[in-house]
Amino acid sequence: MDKKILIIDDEEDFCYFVKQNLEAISNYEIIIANKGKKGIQIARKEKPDLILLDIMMPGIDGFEVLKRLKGNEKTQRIPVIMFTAKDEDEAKIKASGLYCEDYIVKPVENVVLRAKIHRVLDLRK
Amino acid sequence: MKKKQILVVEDERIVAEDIKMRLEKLGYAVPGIAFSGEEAVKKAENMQPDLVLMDIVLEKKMSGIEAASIISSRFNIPIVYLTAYADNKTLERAKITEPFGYIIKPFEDRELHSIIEIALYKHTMERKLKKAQQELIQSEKLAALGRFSSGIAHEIKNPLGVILGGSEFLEMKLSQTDADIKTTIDKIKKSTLRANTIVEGLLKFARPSELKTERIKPNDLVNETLSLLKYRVPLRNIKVETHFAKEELYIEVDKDQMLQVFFNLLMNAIEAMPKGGKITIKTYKMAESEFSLDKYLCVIEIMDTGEGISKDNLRKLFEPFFTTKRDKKGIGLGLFMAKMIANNHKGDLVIDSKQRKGTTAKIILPLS
Ligand SMILES: Nc1ncnc2c1ncn2[C@@H]1O[C@H](COP(=O)(O)OP(=O)(O)O)[C@@H](O)[C@H]1O
Ligand SMILES: [Mg+2]
Repeated sequence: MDKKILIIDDEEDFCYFVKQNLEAISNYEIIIANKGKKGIQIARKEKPDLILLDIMMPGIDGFEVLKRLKGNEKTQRIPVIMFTAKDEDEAKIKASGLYCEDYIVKPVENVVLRAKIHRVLDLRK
Repeated sequence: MKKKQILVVEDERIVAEDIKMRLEKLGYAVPGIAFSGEEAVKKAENMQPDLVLMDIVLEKKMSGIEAASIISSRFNIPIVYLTAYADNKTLERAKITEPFGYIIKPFEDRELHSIIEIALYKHTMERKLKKAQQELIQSEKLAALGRFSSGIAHEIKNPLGVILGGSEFLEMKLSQTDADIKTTIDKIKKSTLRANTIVEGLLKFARPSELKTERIKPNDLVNETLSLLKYRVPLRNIKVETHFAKEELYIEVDKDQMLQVFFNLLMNAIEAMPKGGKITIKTYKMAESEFSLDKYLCVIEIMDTGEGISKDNLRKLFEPFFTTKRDKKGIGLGLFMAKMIANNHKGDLVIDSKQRKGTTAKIILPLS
């Protein structure tokens, strides 16, 4: 069965290319949500194999989304990779005490993106 | 203490010799006498005296006031005027050059002495004040730049993400069809990553990171940088020589940051020698000042035989984004960051250079 990946990021163009680039080389099914709340809803319904989650978003931000995902039975086991535009968020990610599998600093090259996704999905096999 | 050097400018030889003698009796050194305004400017430049004692009325074309204004503005040397008569018009004109004092002929030794001492003192204080002001402006500028850059980084990095994602997508779809397209996309990608490097460079000093210091030997640090360097750049026909201090020196530094400093300095040296040359690295200890010979500092010196730096550029070296390598991917943050890191370690980075001869960079750090 093809893996399902949910991208939660307010930057629509960014989502578009991540989707294009991943679909071009794999059979992942990619779903996009441009708002945190919407993302949580979709995650509960679709149960993706992986969530790519942006930190800085208007409305509820990535940390809050992560908290709600990890605090809900239905979504708690889904691995999450955070997107950030600042490397200092690494410290925040750690300090938040919330568990995410990995993080990616934007802008990201395809090879890195793919490698990180593969690694997280492989770990879950 | 070293004797203060005074240049005497006076067109009457006998008067000049008399003043010279009186100054020497008062404990000053008189390395030269100038008999005209033109000569005064030339001698001031060559001798860099601590003070110029200047006759206002000189016979030749250039008046004393003209000469004084050139000397004080160009070489920042204090002027004390000597004059036989103090008519108001001359004094008004002399004032414009902001002299540090006037002596009216004839004068007593005591007068001469006190006016010169006051002038020297005033000049030193002015210089100190100016330096402090500049440092303050610099640090305020930095703080503002820091706030600005961390705020803006996110805004820039997001669109960069889109550009990079987009060009990689195009690369995947189109690069097999046409070599020109592949080249074009490659250039877009490279530029995007370069822009990102700049933003990250900005972020690094926007956030004053805490030092994770450890006690290490400067020699080990140098060796480690050199071995790192070998993996990253071909040294081609550049020879590297080390002269390490024999005694065991230790410094307390953030190793990662210091490696970055040395790496930047060595890269600059290599980039300054496209046709090859020699890099000499020395470590040694140096007395903190001539007054406290029991306090020592550690110096790590990197000398190259490259193209050198012009006098003008030497002044701008540590400004952020100053680079002469724009066409070769230079960003101009290397020295800026290196100096900041050295300062954060209560040390300093100083650079000295002669064009077409080479450049010497010294990292000065407290010994631990
Ligand atoms: N060893 C050197 N020899 C000659 N010029 C140098 C040397 N080091 C620095 N410079 C000059 O100082 C400028 C700024 O250096 P740096 O801050 O490291 O930025 P960049 O190397 O990116 O240009 C360089 O562009 C160069 O003109
Ligand atoms: Mg450099």
